[in-house]
Amino acid sequence: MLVLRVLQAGTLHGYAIAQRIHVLSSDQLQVEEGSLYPALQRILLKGWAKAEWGTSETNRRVRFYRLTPAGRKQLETEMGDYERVSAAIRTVLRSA
Amino acid sequence: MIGELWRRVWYLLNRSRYERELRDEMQAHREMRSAYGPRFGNELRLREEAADVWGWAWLERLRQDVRFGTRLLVRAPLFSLTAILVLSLGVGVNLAAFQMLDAIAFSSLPVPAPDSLVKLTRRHPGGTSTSFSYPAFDFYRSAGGPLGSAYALAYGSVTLGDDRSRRVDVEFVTGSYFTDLAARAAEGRLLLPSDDRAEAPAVIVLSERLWRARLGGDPAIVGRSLAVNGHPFVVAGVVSDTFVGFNDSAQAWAAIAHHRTAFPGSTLLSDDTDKGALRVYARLRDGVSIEQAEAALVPAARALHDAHPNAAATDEWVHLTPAGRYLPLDASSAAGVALVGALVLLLLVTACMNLGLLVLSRTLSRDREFAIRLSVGASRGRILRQLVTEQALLAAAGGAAGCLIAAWAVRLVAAATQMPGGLAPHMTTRSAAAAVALAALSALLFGFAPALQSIRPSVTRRLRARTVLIGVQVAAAMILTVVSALLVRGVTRVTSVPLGFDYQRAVLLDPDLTSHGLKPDEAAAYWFALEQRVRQMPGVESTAIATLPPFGNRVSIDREGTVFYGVTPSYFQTMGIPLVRGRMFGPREDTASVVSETLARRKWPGEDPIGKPYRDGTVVGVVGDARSVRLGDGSATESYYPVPAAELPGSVMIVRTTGEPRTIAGPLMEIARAHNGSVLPSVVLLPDALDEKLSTARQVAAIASVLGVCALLLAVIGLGGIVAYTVTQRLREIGIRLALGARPRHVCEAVARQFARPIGVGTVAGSALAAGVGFILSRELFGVSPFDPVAHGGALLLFAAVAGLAAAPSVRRALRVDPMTTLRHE
Repeated sequence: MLVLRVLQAGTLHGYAIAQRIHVLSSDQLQVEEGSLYPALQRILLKGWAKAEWGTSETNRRVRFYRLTPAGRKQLETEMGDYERVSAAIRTVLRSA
Repeated sequence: MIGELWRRVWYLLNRSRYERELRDEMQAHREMRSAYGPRFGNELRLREEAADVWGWAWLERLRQDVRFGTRLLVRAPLFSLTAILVLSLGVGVNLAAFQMLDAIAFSSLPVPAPDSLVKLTRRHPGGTSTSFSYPAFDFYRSAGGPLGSAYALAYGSVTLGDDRSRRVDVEFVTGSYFTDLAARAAEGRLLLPSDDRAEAPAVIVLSERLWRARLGGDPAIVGRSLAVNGHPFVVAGVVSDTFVGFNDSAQAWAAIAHHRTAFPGSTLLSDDTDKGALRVYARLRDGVSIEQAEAALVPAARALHDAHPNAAATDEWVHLTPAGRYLPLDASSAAGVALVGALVLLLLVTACMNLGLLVLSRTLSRDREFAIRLSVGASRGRILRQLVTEQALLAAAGGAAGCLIAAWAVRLVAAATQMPGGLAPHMTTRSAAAAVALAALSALLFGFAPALQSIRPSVTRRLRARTVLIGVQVAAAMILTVVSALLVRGVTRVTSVPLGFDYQRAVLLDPDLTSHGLKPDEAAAYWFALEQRVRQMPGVESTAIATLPPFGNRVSIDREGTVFYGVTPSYFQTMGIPLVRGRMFGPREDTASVVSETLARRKWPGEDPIGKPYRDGTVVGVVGDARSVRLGDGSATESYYPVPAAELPGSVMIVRTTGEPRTIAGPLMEIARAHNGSVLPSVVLLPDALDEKLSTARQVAAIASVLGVCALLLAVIGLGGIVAYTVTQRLREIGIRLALGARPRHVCEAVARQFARPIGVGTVAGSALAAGVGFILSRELFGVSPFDPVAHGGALLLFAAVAGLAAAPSVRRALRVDPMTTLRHE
């Protein structure tokens, strides 16, 4: 979900995605950066994103990921689900 | 969903490119990232994880398993080859049997609309008959009704060309036979409806097999003249070997209208009694069921009786059976098929048990490998998968080899039994699937189960499994060996039992006067003159006329098993049958009869049979037992009566020679031809006739022997393997025992004790079951006795010898063992 959310802003390559998640989460999510790639492969397979080879700002050959319409829909669904679940948890925490 | 599936397949096809891209991408990422921040992780592992997402991990692992399994099997060539051999024998023999059965009983004939073909049988309260007279056939054919078209076949045995010594089987068929069954001509043309007219020129068509064997496959034969029984016919063409008729093994065919041309004087077409012996087949009209057709033919049979009282009995009706298969299974043939099926399945059981033992021994020795793999983290499932893969590899190899064996066996049998070419069993998807299923089932069931135990080691259960496997295998092998021994003994008994007459110097002359349409008085004249001439030939001791040819298929028998022979007085001298009491009947003594010793003893125990009334006459003499038609049938007895004039056309002549009978056959034929040019008798030496009579029994015995040898072979492999394994396992113990002063005998006993019980139980059970099978066989085949001690004992001895032979190398190895070496080895 995080990857999809990050990609919603625009086309990015792998390293940039990792950086964005890293920065946006304020260093709170300490996962191995490499585990991004199995996740990306899953997204590609599901058809939520498309990949294209291009040149990065530092002149390297990198793969850019772009969200597809299916990916946008998936993100909305997942966001919706997440909102509902976290709202429910919040309610429980507050009232208990 | 579809898109995802498509992408998965796309990933699989372009695997290496995607893997390379993934590597490049990760490489770039690592180069860009700073040394700080979260770790990247193990790149190799991540790459694998990412690739797993594509969903082809199982394929990759399967490839690994297959590669590893293949390597293991290649590294143990003895085990692998043995296992494949065992499996392929079991599968191959079964597959061959299945294909044969499929071809003859389950597949339709390769003709248009085979399901509408029926065979006509005459039924009436007194019995059934498959022979129709031509007028009867013609009546049903033109009666229309439920039958669309009908064909009749009349069998004849003729000489072809100048070669008078060999007879050829000819079917005289009605005109539409070949056109309607869509037979293909290899050369020239086949018979047409226009050939089946008396005024049309006489033509004959040859089978491809005969054409190649006798005429060298020369295409120029078409259009040439060829003498049939010495009468000119023109060869119209050659029937392709792919043609399959109605269970007809004819070598040539001619139109039924020309039966008279081949047999001058033949009354086949006009005689309305059933002497004509036509087999009749028909096609049902579209949408008519067999039951409807039978019902519709009832009035037709009545009308036939009214028109031709001789052609049909008063209460006769026509029974129809499907004829679209070569040999439809019926109650009588089903028993034989079931028996053969049981025997070949038994071979498969032996093979499976064997495979089980092999795999068991092998997995036992792989305990250590599995233990290590489990301890370094392999899951049970993973090892199971490995084992399944190995079994599947064995099954594939065994199945493929089995197909080869089956193809070879089927070709051999088809050639030996002269099956029609179009019927020849071949590899169909059905039979290939059967082979794969058989191999997979046996390999997985009997290879996998023992393997399973090595993951959950339990020594007692494993020993029990081994005991059962050995026991069942021994029992199955015993059954096959004993049954084949019973059959072989049965055949030798038929040949060795004294027949009671001397056939070595006898020649049979059969002119088939009935086919030539000779009346009784003409036949009497023919025989009288011929006997005169033959008796004057040098080398001829005596001659006789008899109604039943020795070793023939004709028989006239009553309910008590007494065979009736119509003979001339010189028969006993010619056949060398001794007179025991009384006298022979003289010429023109129509009410006298002579009985055999056993019949006299049975009928009048303790009394003098001479002068007793018997049948329509009086007993005048008693002769020795002499079985010339019901060979090996211990309960058959004989009685003789003077051959009446009415039976002379169907009689044969027996000639006894003073010397070698072979030299007399040619001159005998010449004399017969000089005597009456239109009748060409067949001349057969009785020793040859006996050989032919026994050939079926010999073939059955040969097949059973092959199965028996296969079973023994399997037993050697299985027992040898298990003994070798046990010895290896106990080598250390044996070494210590020997070092402590044990005698070789003790060591042998210790090894043997383990196997004594399963082998003993298996042997006894196998012998008992084999006796049961023998009991069934004894009803079908002459001379087989279910409790034949020689067969059982011989099989047992053979089996013991083979088992000993199988165990010997291992035991010798055990006895040679050097205690110090074994101890150091550990």
